[in-house]
Amino acid sequence: MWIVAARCQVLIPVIIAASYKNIVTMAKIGVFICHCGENIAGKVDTSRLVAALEDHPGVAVSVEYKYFCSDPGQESVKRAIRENNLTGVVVAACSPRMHEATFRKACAEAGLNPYLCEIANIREHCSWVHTDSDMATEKAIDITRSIVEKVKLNNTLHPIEVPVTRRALVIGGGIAGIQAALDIANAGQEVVLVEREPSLGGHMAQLSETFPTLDCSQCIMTPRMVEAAQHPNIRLLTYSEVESVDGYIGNFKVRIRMKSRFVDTQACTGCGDCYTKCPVKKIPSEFDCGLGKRTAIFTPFAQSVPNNPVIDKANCIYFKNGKCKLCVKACKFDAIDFTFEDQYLDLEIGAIVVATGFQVQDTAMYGEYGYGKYADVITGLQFERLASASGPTAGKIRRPSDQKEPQHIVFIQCAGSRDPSKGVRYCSKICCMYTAKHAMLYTHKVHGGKTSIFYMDIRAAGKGYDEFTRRAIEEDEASYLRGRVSKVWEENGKLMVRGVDTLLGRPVEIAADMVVLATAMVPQPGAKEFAKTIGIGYDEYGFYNEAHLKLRPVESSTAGIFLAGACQSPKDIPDSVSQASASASKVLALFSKDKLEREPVIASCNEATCAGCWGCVLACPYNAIEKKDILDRSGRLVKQVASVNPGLCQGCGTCVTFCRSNSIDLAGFTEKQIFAEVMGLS
Amino acid sequence: MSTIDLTGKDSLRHQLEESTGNNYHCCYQCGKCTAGCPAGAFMDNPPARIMRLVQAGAIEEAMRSDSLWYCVGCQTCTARCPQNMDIAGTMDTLRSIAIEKDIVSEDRSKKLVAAFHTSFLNNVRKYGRLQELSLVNSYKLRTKTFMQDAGSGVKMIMQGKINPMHNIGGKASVKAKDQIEKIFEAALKHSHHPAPKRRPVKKEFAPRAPFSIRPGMTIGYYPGCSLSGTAMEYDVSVRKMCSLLDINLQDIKDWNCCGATSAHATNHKLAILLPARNQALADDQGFDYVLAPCAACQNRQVTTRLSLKESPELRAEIRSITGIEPTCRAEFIGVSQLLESLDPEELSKRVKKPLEKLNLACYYGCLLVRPMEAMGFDDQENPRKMESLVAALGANPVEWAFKTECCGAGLTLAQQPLVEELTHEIAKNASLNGADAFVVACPLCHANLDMRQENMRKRFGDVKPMPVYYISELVAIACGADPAEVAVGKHFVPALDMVSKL
Amino acid sequence: MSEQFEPKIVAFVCTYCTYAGADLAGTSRLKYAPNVRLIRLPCTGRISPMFILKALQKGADGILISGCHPGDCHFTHGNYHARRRWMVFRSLLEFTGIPAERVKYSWISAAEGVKFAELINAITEDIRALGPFVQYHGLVEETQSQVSL
Repeated sequence: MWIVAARCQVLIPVIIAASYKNIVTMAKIGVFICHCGENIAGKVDTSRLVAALEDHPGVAVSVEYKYFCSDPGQESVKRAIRENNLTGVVVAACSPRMHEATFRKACAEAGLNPYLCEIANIREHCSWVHTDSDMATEKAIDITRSIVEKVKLNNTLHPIEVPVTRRALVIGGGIAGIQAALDIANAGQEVVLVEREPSLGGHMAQLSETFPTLDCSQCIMTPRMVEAAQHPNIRLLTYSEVESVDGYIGNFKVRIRMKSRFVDTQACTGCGDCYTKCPVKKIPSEFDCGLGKRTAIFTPFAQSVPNNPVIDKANCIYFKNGKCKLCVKACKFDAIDFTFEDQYLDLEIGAIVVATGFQVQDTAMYGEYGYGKYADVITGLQFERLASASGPTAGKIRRPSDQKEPQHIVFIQCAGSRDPSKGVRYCSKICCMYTAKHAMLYTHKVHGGKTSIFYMDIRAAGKGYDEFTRRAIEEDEASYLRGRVSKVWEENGKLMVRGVDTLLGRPVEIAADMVVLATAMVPQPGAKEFAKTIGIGYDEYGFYNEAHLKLRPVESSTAGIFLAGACQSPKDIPDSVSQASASASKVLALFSKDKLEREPVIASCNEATCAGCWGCVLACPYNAIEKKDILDRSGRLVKQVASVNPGLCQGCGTCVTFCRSNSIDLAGFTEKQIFAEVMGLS
Repeated sequence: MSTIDLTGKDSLRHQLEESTGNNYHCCYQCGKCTAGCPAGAFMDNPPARIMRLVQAGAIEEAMRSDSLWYCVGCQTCTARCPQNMDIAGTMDTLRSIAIEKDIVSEDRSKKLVAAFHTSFLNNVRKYGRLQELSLVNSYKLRTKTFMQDAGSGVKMIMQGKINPMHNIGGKASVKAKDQIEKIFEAALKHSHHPAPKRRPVKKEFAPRAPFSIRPGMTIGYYPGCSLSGTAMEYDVSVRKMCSLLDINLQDIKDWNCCGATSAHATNHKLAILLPARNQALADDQGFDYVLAPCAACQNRQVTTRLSLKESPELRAEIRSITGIEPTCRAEFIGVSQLLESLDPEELSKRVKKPLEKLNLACYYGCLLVRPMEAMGFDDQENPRKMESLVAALGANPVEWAFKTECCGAGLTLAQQPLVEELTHEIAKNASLNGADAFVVACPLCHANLDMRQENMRKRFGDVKPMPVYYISELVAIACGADPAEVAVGKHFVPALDMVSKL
Repeated sequence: MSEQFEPKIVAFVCTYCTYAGADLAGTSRLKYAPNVRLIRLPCTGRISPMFILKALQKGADGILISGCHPGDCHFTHGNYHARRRWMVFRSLLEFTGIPAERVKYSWISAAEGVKFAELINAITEDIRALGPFVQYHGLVEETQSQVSL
């Protein structure tokens, strides 16, 4: 017993000594005041700032310079550290979110523990936002002094190393997800590819031909789909969804729900006898955007990968009243089993690529266009299905109302984008191109058919794009009218379109056989909820936020989770594929290390004073605090204390505020440091 | 070679910005306003071009445009603008400034329309309410259009819709004429109250809070000038309908003309002050709800009430003119809203003669649903409330596409050809969709669809005769009234037969 | 002519949302009152009521606590703990006579630079109207004066 007590007695002074080290020894803080060109110096009187800090107790060096983040700037900091044996560094400059890492690295190179360096934000929080020079300077002095006081109490900290699970998760099996999965798999790493629908392919599989090459969409895609399904490094889970994601970069814990197909995929050969015999034939097909029909047991399209059907429980006769079972009778392989249940899979994942794609906007919000009211007013994606050789009309353009061939089609661009009054301000990027494509496909199929396209602008900025739209106009004689359409209504079997030709300055009325609305790309339904499940940021529409719009477009706001494709913003196929490969390269970079270095801004518990109340355990969002047994020499339990798992702790500090005995504290933001920062204000 | 002034710093542009709340930089010239404008094909500078002229600083050219005189004030442009700009307001303000500065179009249509507005407003200034016969006389004298509507005029006098005696006896005019005079004088002074700034933001239809009116209640009644004159059937049928529904109507004492189209097309302040007096009177006389059957009147009253609520200066001005501080407690409602507010059972239990096999096109016109934020009545592209009411009466409302497309409204006298074109489109679409008759809730829509129908049919030759019923007439008939009792016999297009067969 | 009273306001903010929102206000060059000093913490869950009292002790006239919107906390639910703590702490403040209007709570996300600037201006005016927190500062002086035994 007394040995334990003795141990504790030894422990306490050590801990106290460690934390007071910087006060007991003379603090020698270096203060480096950056001008940031005119950004800071233009508003804050830096010479006054230098003078004020010079006089501050504990400050050994107080200097200013134009750009401390530059090479010579950083060299001068390192020199100052070495020449003055500085015990801490404060850089008064831009936001720590900009250059904390830069300066910490410089300190490390000069031999000073990087965690003894802090940034005083006198740009974003001071020079850029205040108009009065005097008050801005006073504030800058205040901020810098307060950070100096904090740094005096900083402890040396060392990065923590955690293992990396070398298994990637790609969420979404469209072109972006497939590309990312293939790139990672081809580099020799393990990938789990999860797709919500019964088949891979996403929206690209629904297209007829792609711009600007007019390649058959499925022809270029299906080889990729098959490759992904057969790749030894890719584990394909279709008809599955991600239920939850816990953990952090290199160490995610993911739960996947594999929805029941009611079909044994091992036994099923994809022969199709079951859906040929299924008596429920009139369900509107989601793949055909409601223009075609499917059965209750079905594959979404003929080239589905994997080619195993699923049973739509809501429409299946057996599930409704226990009768039928014609599919079971038809199946020669006994592959159908109505008792199958959803299964859950828990995986350890190192990195995640989110490629969940988009959906087409519901244009019924335009009451004046009559979508949903008039059968012959359709969306761009529905037109793709009509034009597609494997579509509901075998590639013939037919009016949904009477199956007649339309002789004059009106296309309306910007039907749902660039429209703040409907809440969609952005440009959907692909509509100008696909409308030109539709006009071309139509005129190739229907000789003598006329097209009129109402547009506001033509956005055709890719390689070969403008030439493509000019081809539609010059060779295929598409008639482009500049102006938006005000109203569409039906009269005598024709669709009357009231628009305008602003270049002529006159309203225009056209009697068309079909109207195609170039609908905007919007985020998937449930995109925001899904983002919350995974823990990434999203914007007002539900598109996922990238870490930096210009320089980090494929990283999400959460470390270890990357973005690819239209879930981040509207884009076409080349851009989606590029982003997918970019995400894959980020994942491979992550997997190239054996261990991941983690920031040591984590909590730790003073076992001597911990009373084992477990307030912290309850508080921790990451379950990072464990209950540790303290044993005496003979192995008997003395008490239980809280112990922080350095691999799991994320450094939020919620536990610290719960602790009644001030036993647990957060490195980098200790109680004393915060008090010092507050007391450092004037 | 004209230089375009894109800096937009001149004072006329500033005046436009203040009075409409528009930031003219926001217009991206999509042309949707032109596309939807009923009169767009008639104008030299359709709406989008007017906006461009303002953007480019060529405001005098915009003022000289004949577009201002074809604009029917239906607000379709403003309703559909993706950047939430007020194009209708731009037209109104340009017109007021044009009149003020006498920089106007040389087009004949301008002369006709201006003559109409002048005659109208002079009449209101003199009597406080519109004496339709003097209006028409004055208009014809100014424009020398003596033969226009000559036949209809005689018929209306015979029916009692226009009573020459009213002018002489002064019976149907406002008593507090001095207040009206003060309003007109105050209208000449500019108000410094800028309109709230408009920005490109999402617009969603939010219906106004539901209220309930129960049989036995007393509500205020604001007939408005046309119900006392040419739209007499509407007044008769509304009163009959309310008596059958056990709702007591009490006329607002000494009500004045709301200014209708002519005030808001020429002078923004007058367009607010005239209805504001009615609001003050209604508040003072203790009404919670005031039935204003005319859609134009109701629209003016509702938008004025909103302006009054936001502006203490306006309220103070009304107080100084009338001696009453408007509390804005009284709400002006339309006939459809009144019917909607009743418990559905109250209506259905009173229906004695369901209007079976009556195929009706419910015509809302423009002002019942626009502006969407102020009226809060129904969706402005596909409203359904009148259809529900009519179906509850046993009739068969058809689905058609011109429910809210303007009939030509207040330009019925001055732009007759335009009105014929518009009503032709409306009637054609209604008929193609299976309707035999119209149901309306506005006397102006009624006049255009009914009084002008014969001429329109002669001109185009492809529409069958279609009676035009007021919703109140149909409710009254369904609840047991004799069609002749509710003045259905006074319509221009014979309408008795269709409802007598029930 | 007496100078206008410039309130001193200390704001405890979380790194991932409000601090980032303040940075956005800076990069957008929005202008707001210079009376606020931000203390950066990883999460609002880290904010102890003791910090607030310390700040008042140091001479602050007003306090702001600001973090991520509910559901969006970078550390999943630190902000919920902070909010609950704040509810209890507010009652305690009222009990001790510290006006609750001097201690304000808000949610500001990293995208809400404009909201941040507007909030700072609004709070500065609110605290300015309340005047310097003389009662508390007086108390502090009392406790810091020499005790004679």
